[in-house]
Amino acid sequence: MIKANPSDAVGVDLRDVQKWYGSVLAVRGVSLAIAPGEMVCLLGPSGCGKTTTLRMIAGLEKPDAGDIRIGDTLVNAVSPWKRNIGMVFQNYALFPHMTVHENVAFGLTMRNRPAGEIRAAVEDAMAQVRLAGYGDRRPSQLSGGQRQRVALARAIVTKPNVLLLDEPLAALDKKLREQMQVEIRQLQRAVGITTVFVTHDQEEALTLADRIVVMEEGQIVQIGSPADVYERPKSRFVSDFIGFTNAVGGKVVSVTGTTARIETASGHSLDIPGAEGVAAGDEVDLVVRPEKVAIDPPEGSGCVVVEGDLVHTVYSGAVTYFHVDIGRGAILIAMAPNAHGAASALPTSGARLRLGLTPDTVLVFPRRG
Amino acid sequence: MGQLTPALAGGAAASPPRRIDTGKVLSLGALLAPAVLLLAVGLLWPFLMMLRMSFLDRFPDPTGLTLEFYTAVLTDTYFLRIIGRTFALGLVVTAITAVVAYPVAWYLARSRSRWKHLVFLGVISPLMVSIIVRTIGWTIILGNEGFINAMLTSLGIIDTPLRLMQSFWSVVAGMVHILIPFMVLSIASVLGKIDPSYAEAATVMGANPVRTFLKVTLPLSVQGIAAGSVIVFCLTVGAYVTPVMLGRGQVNVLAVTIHEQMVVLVDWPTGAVVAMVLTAGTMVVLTLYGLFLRRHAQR
Repeated sequence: MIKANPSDAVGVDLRDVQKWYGSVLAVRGVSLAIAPGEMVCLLGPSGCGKTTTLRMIAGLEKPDAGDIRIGDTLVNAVSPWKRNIGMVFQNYALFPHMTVHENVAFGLTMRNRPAGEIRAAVEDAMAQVRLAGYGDRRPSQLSGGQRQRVALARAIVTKPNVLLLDEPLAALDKKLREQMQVEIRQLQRAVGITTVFVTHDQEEALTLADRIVVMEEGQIVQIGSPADVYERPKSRFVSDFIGFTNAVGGKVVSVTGTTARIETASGHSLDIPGAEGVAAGDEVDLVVRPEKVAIDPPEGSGCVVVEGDLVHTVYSGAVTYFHVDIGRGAILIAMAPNAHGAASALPTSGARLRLGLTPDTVLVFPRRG
Repeated sequence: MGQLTPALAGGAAASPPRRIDTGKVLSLGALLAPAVLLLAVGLLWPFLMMLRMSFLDRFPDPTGLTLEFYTAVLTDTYFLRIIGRTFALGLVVTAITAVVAYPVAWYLARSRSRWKHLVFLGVISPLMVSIIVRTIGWTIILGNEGFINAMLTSLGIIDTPLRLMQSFWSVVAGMVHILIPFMVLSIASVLGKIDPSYAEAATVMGANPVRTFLKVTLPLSVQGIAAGSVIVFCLTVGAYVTPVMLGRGQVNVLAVTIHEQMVVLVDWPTGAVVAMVLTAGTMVVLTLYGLFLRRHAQR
């Protein structure tokens, strides 16, 4: 079993890291401290600088400004082949001219370890990813999931300081992806290795990471636990990018302390606590997750009740989404689990629905642009 | 071309029924016809004529078949020397071309420089110059009063000019010059298709640039070297004009000998035998090369 002594695990520290591509600033001063043994996810749309940041940690790109430390070592000028890093590439990059065994052994061979030690370590790593006995095959003879596991075995067999995963699951189908998410997480915990992975898939980030780093246009816009980032997004961008979101326009009527009274586009008036950075007269968006919108709430439950006409129903197996026109064309989407079966029992279009909003689940963001 | 009925599909589960699509066969035939015709008339037929001629006791007006000319050619040190020289030329030119072409191909495949197309133009420029001009160019460089001899003499390194022309190596220089483009383009096309993440993966796993090249990039580009080598080797051992022009009759190779036997000496069967030796020798070398690559490319 490959297992790092927890006290051996080292952190990664990025300070004001910048990267230019020609005249484009791809990474604009990223600062991030990753704790030893932590699993951190860089999340964002394509072109947000997440992959460039990962490649700078690997040494495949040189930062134009700022410092990168692995453990206590400043690695800015350290060649990638001297950084002791394990990396899984998006397409796995398994060497097609080598067997699976030779692929996994590659890092140890490059470190000039004795043959017996290499053999034992490779077999160990292969067993850890449940591929014992596949050593003589070629990568081309493996399925997508098996290739993924070989790539993982190849990355951890050298006991690297840091494991880097670049969109590791993007090439797999949904079912396999969910299975591999669990496997990667278990492996990472078992080995205890500091891990940074990059994805544009918010579900993957929520499932896998200890902390999520949301990036936009080369900058970090929020760092937090999955629950933090999902429940308390700091901006409209984060709330849109992670999970599904309702947004209803509105205008701030008055602000008392941190509670803002907002007149919505649908003609309702709500008092939202914890609304920061808004002043009376501001155009804002009210953002709320569909699962926080109660359908037909009992009287006296303390939520604000809005009524509207059901205009559209999306049945998606486990849950159903109800698109409700709450007035003047403003649509609020509510989600409910299909607990009772029988789709025929669902309300049909045109039905009048009562929806309940709990003010502290509603977030207020200044209207963008 | 009907739909597969469920009954038929069920009944033929073990071996699906083979349907010959006549339309497909016809269009395939039409597409291949020009090339097949050209090969049959221009290559296969003359080759078979030549093969037959090499076994005739005399030509024209043969009276029977014989191995006499094969025995004569393969025991005569004059011919054996030419055979050796020809294949040595092929191997030397192929090796030098591969070594010189690889870095250029690397540049063409990887560089994003705006000068890249100029380099590409430079690479294929030998193909745009006629053999006469190219030969005169090499004479200016290699001749007794040429650039190299003049420089070495003026530096006092030599007293009498070196015989650079009319030598094996002058032919090598000329052949490498003209054949470099084929090698460069073969290697560049393969290098360009290698996913850069292979080399990156090797680097991250601790391989320095030299080891990354030797363990990953070179093995993955072997197909390009192989394709280029086959072209260069075949063109070299069959070359006629360059050995004649740069060797000035001092560097006899098989193609020159075939011409000599058939056209100058009007000894058709001997010429045919030499042609067969050239063909067979080329095939043997290429087969051995293929086996070597198959064994080593996978490691």
